[in-house]
Amino acid sequence: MAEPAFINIEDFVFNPSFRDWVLHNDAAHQATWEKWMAANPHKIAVMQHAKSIVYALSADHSQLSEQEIDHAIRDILNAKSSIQNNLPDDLRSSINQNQLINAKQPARFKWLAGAAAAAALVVVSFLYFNDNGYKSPGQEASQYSASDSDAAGTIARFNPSDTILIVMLPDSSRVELAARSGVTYSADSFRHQRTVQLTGEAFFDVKKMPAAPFLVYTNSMVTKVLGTSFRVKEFPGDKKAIVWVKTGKVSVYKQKEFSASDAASKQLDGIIIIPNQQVTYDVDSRQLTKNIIDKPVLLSNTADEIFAFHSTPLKEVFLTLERAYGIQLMYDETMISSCSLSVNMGNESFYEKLDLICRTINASYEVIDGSIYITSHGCK
Amino acid sequence: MSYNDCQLYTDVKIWDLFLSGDSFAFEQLMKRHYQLLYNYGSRFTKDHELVKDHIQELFLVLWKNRAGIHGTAAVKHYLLKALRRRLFRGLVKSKNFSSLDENYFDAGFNMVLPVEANLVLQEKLTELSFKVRSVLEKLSNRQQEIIYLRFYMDAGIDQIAEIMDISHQSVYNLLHEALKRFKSLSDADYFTVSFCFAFLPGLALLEEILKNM
Repeated sequence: MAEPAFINIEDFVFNPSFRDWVLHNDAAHQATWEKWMAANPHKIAVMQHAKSIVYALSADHSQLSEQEIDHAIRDILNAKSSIQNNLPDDLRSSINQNQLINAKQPARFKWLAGAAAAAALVVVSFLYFNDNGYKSPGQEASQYSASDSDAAGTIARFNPSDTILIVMLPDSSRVELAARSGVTYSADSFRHQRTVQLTGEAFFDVKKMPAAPFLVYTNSMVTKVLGTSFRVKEFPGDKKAIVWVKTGKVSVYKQKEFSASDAASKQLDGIIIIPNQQVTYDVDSRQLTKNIIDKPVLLSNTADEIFAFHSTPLKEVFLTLERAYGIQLMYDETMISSCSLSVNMGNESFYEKLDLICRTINASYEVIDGSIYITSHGCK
Repeated sequence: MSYNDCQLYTDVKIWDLFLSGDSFAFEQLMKRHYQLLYNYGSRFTKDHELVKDHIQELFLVLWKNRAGIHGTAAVKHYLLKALRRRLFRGLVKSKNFSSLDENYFDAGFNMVLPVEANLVLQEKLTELSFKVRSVLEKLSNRQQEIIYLRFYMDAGIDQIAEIMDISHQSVYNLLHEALKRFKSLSDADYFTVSFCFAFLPGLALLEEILKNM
């Protein structure tokens, strides 16, 4: 311990080492202070008074564990890396303007350049909801406050910012709320009925509980899963609502056709989608359509699949593609039985690979109901 | 910059690195200040998740807008003020606070006192602690917040005024009122005087001012 002259009470009270020792019974400081007392017996009385003042000022802080802090910081870093990708253009420009204004201001204490930008976003989100006259159960609570709850135990989280907000649900499922999106659920009933109401867009990483289906209600759809990760997007006023899957299986229903027995059943029915597929609800036609996402990605367990073929039978090539992307390819086996392929492919996208193959064997394809239908006239 | 190097850097150095876009410095900045921000934030609301949300948003906005931010000599106090503003904006809007003076701050000076091995000493300390506490409890929210910032956040008068967005004069006035209350605890003579000096930063200056008025 660098030895300050401990003369007055304040010398002790404002010494961090002393404070930690008294408040947290910090073992690291214990020996130091015992030694100090032995060396300074005449100052012990003053020190005892300082102690009682520190006691009086001890606040009921809840100390976060290192893991909790690490977790919170990881969440922030994750959200940070996705800021750029998820920012709608209109918001981006409003932020830039604010940044300019702030940069020009002769900063007095140079506070937070983003404060004004954040305030602007709040306004944007208000207008957004009010203009659409849309009402969701969570809306009352969602007026800027990121969290609120009422007597019935309804918890509402709204993300007014332009960055992702991580929300942990009671079953430790994780929700990444996109900008201007909100989620509500009942704290009381969530344990036996995992149901959330979503406005806007969110990515869900749902804790696997086969006995308890997890339901996401949006204005026109219900998405039901047992334990998987997926994204749901339905902003009020949008013409299309979308669900897509990252891992596992998800089933999607029209909200109007979703019954209590559907909610309770442990089966996944409705329209079922798997990774690289999506379901789109068209507001005008009121139809749910299953499709393949625009840019299918390699499934995580096949990320190092090799697409090098040397006089490989076409059927094997198709099986490799199916396995890598989890997308079903439909074709007439007898027609392609005489086809083989020699080609090396690497970073091409799914559709580029498919185009390349089809050009080589003079075939064509169509996407129908989440699968690829290949028409080949055979090879000579 | 690697993690280990960070320990050698001052807050200001970390801040400057963060402003230049260094992700490690950003992470280190959060590690250094997260607990303190959380402690301070939870004085304003019992919804601890909400506090975490606001801290998250604060750091993300800082990162995004770092180009428009300048260097600061008092990183911790800068962050405290920024968090306070965010919380206020959120709480005022959600709870319809008509005025900021109504129970907005709960210093929470009510932790159970630790037990001393020496019972006689324990009794003495406890008696004194409770006396001090009884005075603390009667202080207004603002006065409690000033004392909290002074004690837990090592803030001086200038910084307290800055963080709470009030004038120096207001801080002095609030402190003066608090001082009067503490002086009524006059049975332990040197305790009172020293104690007041301990708590009220710049009090000597204040007394000067009062003398000259």
